[in-house]
Amino acid sequence: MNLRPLLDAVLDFVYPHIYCVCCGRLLEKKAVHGLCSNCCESMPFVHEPKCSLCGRPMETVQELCRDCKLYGHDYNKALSAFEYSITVRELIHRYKYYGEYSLSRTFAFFMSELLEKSGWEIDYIIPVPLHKNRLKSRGFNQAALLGDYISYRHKIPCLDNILVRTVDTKSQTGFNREKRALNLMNAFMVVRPDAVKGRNILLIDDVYTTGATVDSCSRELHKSGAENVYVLTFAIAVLT
Amino acid sequence: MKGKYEIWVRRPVLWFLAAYIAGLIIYNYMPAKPVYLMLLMSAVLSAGFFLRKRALFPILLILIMLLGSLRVSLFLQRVNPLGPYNGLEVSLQGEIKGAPQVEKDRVIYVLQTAAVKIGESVYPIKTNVKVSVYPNTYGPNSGVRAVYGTGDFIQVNGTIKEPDGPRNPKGFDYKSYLARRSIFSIMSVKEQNVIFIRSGSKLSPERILASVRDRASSVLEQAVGGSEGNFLKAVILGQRWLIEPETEDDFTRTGLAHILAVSGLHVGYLVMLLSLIQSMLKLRKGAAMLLQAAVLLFYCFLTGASPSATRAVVMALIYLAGKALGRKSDIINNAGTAAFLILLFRPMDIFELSFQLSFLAVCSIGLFAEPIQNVLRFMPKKVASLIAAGLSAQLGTLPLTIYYFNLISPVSILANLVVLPVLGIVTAGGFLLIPLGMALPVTAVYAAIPIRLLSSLILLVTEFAADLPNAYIRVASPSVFTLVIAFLLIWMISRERPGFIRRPSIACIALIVLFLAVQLVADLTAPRELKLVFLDVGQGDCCFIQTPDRKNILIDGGGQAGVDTGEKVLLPFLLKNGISALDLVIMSHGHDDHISGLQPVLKQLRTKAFMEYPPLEKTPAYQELIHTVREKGIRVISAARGQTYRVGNETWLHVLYPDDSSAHALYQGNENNLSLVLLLECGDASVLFTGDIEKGVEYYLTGRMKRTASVLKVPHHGSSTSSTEAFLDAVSPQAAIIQSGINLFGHPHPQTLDRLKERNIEVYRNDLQGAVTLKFRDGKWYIQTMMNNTNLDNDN
Repeated sequence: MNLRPLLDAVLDFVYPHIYCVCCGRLLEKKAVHGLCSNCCESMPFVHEPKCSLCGRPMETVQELCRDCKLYGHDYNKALSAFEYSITVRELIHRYKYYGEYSLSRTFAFFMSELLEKSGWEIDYIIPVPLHKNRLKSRGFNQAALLGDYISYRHKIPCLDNILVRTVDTKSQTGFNREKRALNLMNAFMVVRPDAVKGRNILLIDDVYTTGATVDSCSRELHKSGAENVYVLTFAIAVLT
Repeated sequence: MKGKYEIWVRRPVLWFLAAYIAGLIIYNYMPAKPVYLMLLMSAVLSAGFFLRKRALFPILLILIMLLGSLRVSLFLQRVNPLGPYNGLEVSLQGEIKGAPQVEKDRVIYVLQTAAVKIGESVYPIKTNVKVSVYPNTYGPNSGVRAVYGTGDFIQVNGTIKEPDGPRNPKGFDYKSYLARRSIFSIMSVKEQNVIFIRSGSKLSPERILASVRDRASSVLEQAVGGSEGNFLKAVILGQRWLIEPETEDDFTRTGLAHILAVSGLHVGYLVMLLSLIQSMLKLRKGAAMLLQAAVLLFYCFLTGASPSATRAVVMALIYLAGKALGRKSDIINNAGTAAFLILLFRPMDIFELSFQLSFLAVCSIGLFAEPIQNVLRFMPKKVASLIAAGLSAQLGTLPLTIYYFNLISPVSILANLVVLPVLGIVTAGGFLLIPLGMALPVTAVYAAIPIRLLSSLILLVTEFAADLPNAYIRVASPSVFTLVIAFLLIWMISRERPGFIRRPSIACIALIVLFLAVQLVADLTAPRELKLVFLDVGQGDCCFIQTPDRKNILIDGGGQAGVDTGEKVLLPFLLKNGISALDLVIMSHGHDDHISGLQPVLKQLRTKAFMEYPPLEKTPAYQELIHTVREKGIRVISAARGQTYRVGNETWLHVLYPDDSSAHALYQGNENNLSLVLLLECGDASVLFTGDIEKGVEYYLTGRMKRTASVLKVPHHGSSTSSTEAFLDAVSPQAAIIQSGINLFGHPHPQTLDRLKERNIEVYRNDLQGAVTLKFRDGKWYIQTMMNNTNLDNDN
């Protein structure tokens, strides 16, 4: 029996969402995602035109963005809900570094809306894993919480014991494209290849910058025989 | 299923809480058998199965309401197992529960009995008895201290008594107060009647708490001591009874009483202190959380788990749990959840003043602290947040403090501004001082110096503020309807007002108009009746009269040695019954048991006129009283025989006695014989007030009675030296009221009672029945007493 909805209902009862997660003002009664209408309107949704591969917003209508044309990707398709603006960055920092786990629901809400529109056929959801040292110091995996919620919404199993991070990589922040890719070389491993063989996988992460992380994961998944690998992230950096 | 996940409806817990509280309160005033409640519950439950899902929410609410009623019903059903032995000499054997309370002249233990010996038989009765132990000898050095501790087994021999309910209308209900604490009997004994049996197990949780409490309290005693030490013990350890009553009055009058209760402020500091410790020890999150929770619970029980302390600790636990779960906790929802949890376990707490005040305070902090803090941005943040919390708490609790304490203190805002930041330092310092004192007693004495100075600063500021002219104003209790309107107004000006209200100013005006309209209608439709309340002031006279056109008259004010009758009985009675001004105050004669209680009334309430027959012997009480009358510029009326005053619409006061010549003849050196004898006449009703007249005056009056009276206030508290047969025959009342209390004169005298009985006069006695209320409406008397209510329909 799945106790999750019950637990969530109890927690919602004790800790309801009353104020906008972004600006702190009172929420309207019908606000469904923890954002007030003002904040919701000013959130930088990713609009068309966007790259058909990595989902990055573009200035002009094109098939692929510059990055995808130049380097290509190891996953099949990626989508992100928001541009990585200052507001979004602040929210993500509050979520990741200040322990406001409850923000995961706001994030995941927009992600699952996006997933619904995408029309992807997904067998399993796999959140991008953290190395166990990092997991210990942070206390939770930000991607796993998002994955959990989306799994719950879409009734797709979320498996977090298939892909592991074997190398405690340095933080990607401040690295350029090459260094990022290098940093993540062979950082992931599929421990149960049979589970992903011939399946369509959805990778979940919080931020997409160059795609190095999800590429690295996708490579491993493809090696293990995954049919298609899709990527869904909350925010995507805009190239300048 | 998809949509259901998004339950962002605001604070549903408040709906459940409201339903539950409604259940508690409704049942308390309209009790039914628990069986019916359970039947009703199952009926609603089964109805829920047949109805559509849409009705789920209301049905849940009804169920929760019934659950509330059930909780109260189980509570009210309990009977006093010692009830049948009320007033008997018994021996109790049992264990001392909780901390002994050391007061000025006695120690109070709560005894959980294991065996009760009545006569020669022993019964295994388990109940709680509040035992007050007085020293064997009276005197300043009789040395009151707690000889026995928590968990000790003792035997007490004494007379078992049931506590009194309210003795005057809207008076303090001691019986329910104790019943809410599961105490049904009381006993007062001297030390020599207490026998030690054995001390309790050292390892029981209660015993451990008690020993920590004792050690902490002795640290404060040694390091700080004096009245500052007692203040700290009250503030930090919850031993509020150590505060002198006068000091406590000062705190109440300056709107600072809230700082004497262990509450959110303390718990806040404790959480801060613990976070500091855990960050120093580099504890893991889970372990730290458990440690914090354990310490908070320990502190809650250490301070006696008072409603305000429990509230603060439960709210802190919910907050901490939210932090662990990554959930933001909202102060009002948190308060609602805490209230619901507490009331599930202690349903009767809803009737506790400190519970109500504590939750109101915290809710209004949730509503108003932030806006106030924004105004105070020029201050340091910590100070500003303390002050904002204090001010908003005051705003939210104002209607209730007026209702309960009948006070408005203009100095309160200023006093809080000064005292709250200082109190913050004192509390934090006190928390640090206790472990320091346990480890290094000598160092603690020096460390305590600043804390001691700051505590005495608080005490001095409070005393100074309370003594300022117009520091506080006495106001009458508003009606419950007024309270509701006041709370709605406060709600409207907050940012959380209901969504459909666009402009709060219009909503406020609408509320005020509604209020005035309802007041007007209530005023017009209220029954026109003559009302008399013979108050129970112990041994002494006091009668409050309200004429059909709402003129308020007071005859005498009682007064007993060692009791401030005016402050403790008379003023609360008047103010709580909505009377803040008097049209006429009458003094029957100048003895203390008739006028002492008038002094604070004349001083604090607006009074139009004062009637007397000037006494020949000017007692100190009389001199003080007449001084106040002159000071306040109250019109003095010298009454004399033959005069008639129109005191209200169709209400007359005839003065039957004395005039100068008769007084001269009948005085005999006894002030009692100068008592004003007054006949109140209103339509067909007539009441004769006789003060303390003796035989001689009665003989004088007997021949001169022009008419009979339907009600007689029996002269001189029912003494045998008055109420002569001839006088009673001449007055020939249907009902007689004897105003007496515990006394050494043998009032009322059995002979008097016999004489009244022989004449088939209904007798009502303050000493047995508490206050007696008489109403005369449409030619009929309606008589009610506070205790053993007996109704009397008497055709006039």
